[in-house]
Amino acid sequence: MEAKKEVTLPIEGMTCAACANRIEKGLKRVEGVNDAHVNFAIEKSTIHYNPEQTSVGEFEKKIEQLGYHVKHEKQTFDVEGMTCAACANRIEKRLNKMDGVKEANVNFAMENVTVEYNDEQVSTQDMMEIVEKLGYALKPQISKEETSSRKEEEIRNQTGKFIFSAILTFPLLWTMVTHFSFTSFIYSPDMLMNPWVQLALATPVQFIVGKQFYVGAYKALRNKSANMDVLVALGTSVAYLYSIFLGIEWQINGAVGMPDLYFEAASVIITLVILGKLFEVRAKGRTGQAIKKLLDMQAKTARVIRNGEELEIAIEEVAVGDHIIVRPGEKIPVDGDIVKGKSAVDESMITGESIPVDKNVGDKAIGSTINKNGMLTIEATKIGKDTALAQIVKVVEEAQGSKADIQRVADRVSGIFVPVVVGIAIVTFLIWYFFAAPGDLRAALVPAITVLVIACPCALGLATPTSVMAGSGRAAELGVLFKGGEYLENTRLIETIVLDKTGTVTKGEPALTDVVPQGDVTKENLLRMAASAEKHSEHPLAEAIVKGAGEQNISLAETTDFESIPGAGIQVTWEKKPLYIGTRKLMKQQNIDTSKMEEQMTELEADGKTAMLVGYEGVLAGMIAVADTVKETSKEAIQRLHEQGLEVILLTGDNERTAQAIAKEVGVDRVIAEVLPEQKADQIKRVQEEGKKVAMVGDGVNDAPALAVADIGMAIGTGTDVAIEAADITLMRGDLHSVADSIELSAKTMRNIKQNLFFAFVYNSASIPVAAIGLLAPWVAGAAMAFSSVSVVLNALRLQRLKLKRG
Amino acid sequence: MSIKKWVSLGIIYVCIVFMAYGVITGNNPFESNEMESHDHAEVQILEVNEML
Repeated sequence: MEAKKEVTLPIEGMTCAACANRIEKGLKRVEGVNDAHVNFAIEKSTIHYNPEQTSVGEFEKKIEQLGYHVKHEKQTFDVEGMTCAACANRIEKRLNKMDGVKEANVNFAMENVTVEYNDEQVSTQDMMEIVEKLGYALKPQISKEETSSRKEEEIRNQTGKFIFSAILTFPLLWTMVTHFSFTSFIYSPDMLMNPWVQLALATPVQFIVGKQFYVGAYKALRNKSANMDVLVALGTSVAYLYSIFLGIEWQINGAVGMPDLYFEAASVIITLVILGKLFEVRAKGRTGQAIKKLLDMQAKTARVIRNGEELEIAIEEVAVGDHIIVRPGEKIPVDGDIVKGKSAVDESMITGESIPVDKNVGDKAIGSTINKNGMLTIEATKIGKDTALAQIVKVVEEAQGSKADIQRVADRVSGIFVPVVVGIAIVTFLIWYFFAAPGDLRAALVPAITVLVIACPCALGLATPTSVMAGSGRAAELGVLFKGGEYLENTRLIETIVLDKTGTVTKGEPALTDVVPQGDVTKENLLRMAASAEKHSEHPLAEAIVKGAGEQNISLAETTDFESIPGAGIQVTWEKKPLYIGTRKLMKQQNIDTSKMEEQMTELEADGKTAMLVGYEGVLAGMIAVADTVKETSKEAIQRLHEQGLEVILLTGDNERTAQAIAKEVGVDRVIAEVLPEQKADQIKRVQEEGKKVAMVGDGVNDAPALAVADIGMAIGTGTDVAIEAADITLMRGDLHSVADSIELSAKTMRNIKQNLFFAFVYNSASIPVAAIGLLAPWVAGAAMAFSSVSVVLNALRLQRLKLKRG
Repeated sequence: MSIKKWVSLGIIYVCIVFMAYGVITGNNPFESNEMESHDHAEVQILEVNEML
C-alpha cells in the first residue's frame, strides 16, 4: 500500500489568489505529491504526499523557487547537561532529523540551541521530549539574570567539588611524588602507601566528584554514542578498579612490600578535569561579556513630563511620544527626536566613534548614549525592543549563536573522535599486552588509560564558538555588527569593495561650496540674495544655500512672489525687482548674458559641483555652487582598504564627470557612473562575473537589492538611521573606516579560530601517539587535557582586547 | 552545597581516614620509617640504571 502523509506549511509573500493558485500548481507538479491546497486567506498550504518519494524540504524548495517563503518559527532554548562538543553534535543531529525542523544550531559555548521550525508540524514540547531522551534538558530561555545566577550557582558547586577533590587527592599525589628516586628524601607518612588508605581517599573522588562523568557517560552510551564523559569515566575507572585488584592481591600475599597503585592517577585526572571545566566555564562567561556590557549601558529610569509634571519612571514605562528630560551627564533613556535644547552627545557605545556629536533641535537621539553638557528634551520615538540598542543586542546575540562553516568541520571531527579514541586505546592495550610487554597487565593498562584521558575533544568543540563570540562582541563594541558567524568568517575573503557614493563616500547632504560674485556685487550680498530667495524652497540644494548663509551669520531679507520653475530654478521678487536663480537655460530665457561666467561654471561642474546662476535686474550677479561633500575620513579609509589589498569601486547615479571628480578626490580605482538605482544589483553581478568576491557598501535604504546580490552586503549609517535588517554587516560608525575594520576583524577572528583549532588538534592528536608509546603518565594527560580547553578559551578572549589599525 | 561545606567535608574526611588508620592498625599515622629510601625508590633507581 502506498504510504501517505499530510503536512501544512505557512507561506509568506502571497499578494492575491493567483499567487495561491501558482503555488498550488507548482506543488502538485512535485513528484510524490498526491494533492495540494493553498489557502490564500490563512496563508497556509496543505500537502498530501508519499514520504517515500518526496519530503517537506522539497516542498519548501519549490515554494522558494516560485518566489514565496515558508514561514518558520525561531526559538532559542537553553540546553543543560552538555559536557563536550560531541554532546552538542548529537543534539543538533537529532533535532535536525525531526520532521518540521528546518535548522537547529547548538552553541556549545553558550549552552543553547536555536531552532527554526514549522509549528504546524512540530511543537516545542516534541523537541524537549526528544532532547530529554538523549539525556539532556531543553528549556525555554529564561531571563538573562536568571541564567547568569544559575551559572554562578553551578560555578560555586563545581568550585566546592574541586576543592573537596583536591583535599582528598593531595595525600595521594604526595605518595606519588615521593616515588621518584630523586624525591625519595621527601617525608611521606607510611600510612599513605597503604592500598586501603588510598582506596578510602580515592573513592569519594571517584564516585562523588566523578559522578557527573558516570552520569554523562551512561546517557551517551544509552544513545549508542560516546562523549568526553565516556573517556574520563572509562580511563579513571580502569585505573581505580585495577588498583583495587592489586590491593586485594597484596593483601592475599601477606601484605608484604608496596604494590604499584593507580588510585592517585584516577583522582588527579578527575580533579584536573573538574579544574579545567571550572576555568572553562568562567572564561566562557567572559566571552559573552559584550552582550552584558551592551545591556548594562541601558538607562534604568527616565525623567518624563506627564501632565506638566516631571516624573522619574522605570524605563519600561516610557511610552512613544513621551517628552523626556535628560540632564548633562545622564544617559538618554530611549531613541527619540530632540525637541528642546542643545548638547554634545557621546555615542561611542553605539557607533564606536569617540568624539561627541553636537545635537540640536530636530536631531535624532539614540537611547543609551550619554548627554555631555546641555539639557535636552527628547520626544520618545522608539522604545523597548525597537530601540537601536535592543536591535544591536539582538544582532550580536544571533551572531554569537550562529555557526561559522569551519565549525561544522570541527563538529564533524569531534563527533567521531571519541569512538576512534576508544579504538586507539584498545589497540594500544593489545599491542602492549601481546607485543611490547607480553603478559604485563600494568604496562599495557597505563598507556591505554593515558590515551583515553588525553584525547578528550573538549578543546576542539570550544575552538570556534568561543572565538566567534569574542570576535563578534568586540566588533559590536567597535561599531561593526556581523549578522552571523559565516560573515565574520568570509569578510576577510573579499577582493573588491563597491562603494555607493551618496551617503557612503559623501555625507549625502549637499553643502554650500562656492560663492562667486560678478561685477559690483559683494560675496556677502550675493549669498544673502540667494539664501533669502531659496528659503521658501524645500529643495535640498536650496536648503544647502540657506544653511551655508546661516553658518556665515548672514541675515536673510524678505522676498515675495516665490515661484518654482521645474527643472530650471526659482524666481522671486527682491526689493520689488525680479531675481532668478537657476540654470543657464533659465538665464537665457530671461535674456541674461552668462558668457562671463561660463568658463568658471564648467570648472565647478567638472569638480562635481552643482552651479546655480543668480540673475538680478536683467544682469548676471554671480554664481553659487553646492556639492555633496566627501566625508572627512573617506580618503584615508579608502587608502586603508588599498593597503589591505582591495580594489575599490565607486558606484553612482551621477554623471561621469561628477563621479570622476569624487573618485579622484578620494582615490578609488574604478568608477561606475550613471547607474540607476535598480541597475546597481546588475553592476555588482558584472563585477562578480570577473571572478571576484564583492562587498557592497551602501546606506541599505535604496540599494537593498545590490546589498543582497553582493557576497557581503554592508549597510553604513549612524545610530538609528542605519537599516540593520538590510545587510550582512551593519556599520554603525558611519564612516568608511568601518569597512576596513570589518575586514580586519574578520581576518583576526579567523586567525584566532585557526590558532584555537591548532591548539586543540595538537593536544588531541599529537599527544595520542606520545601517550600510546607510554611516555606520558595518566595524571599528566589529565593536566594537559584541562590545559588545552583553558588555553583555547583564553586565546579567544584575546579578541576582546583587539586593537585595530584605524587611523 | 556551598564551597565552605565542601571544604569542611574534605578536611573532616581526611582526618577521619587518618584517625581510622591509627585506631585500626595501632600505628602512628604520621610515622615514616623509610624517609631515606623505600622500595619504590629502589625500584626506580634500578629501572633508571637498566635504561642507562
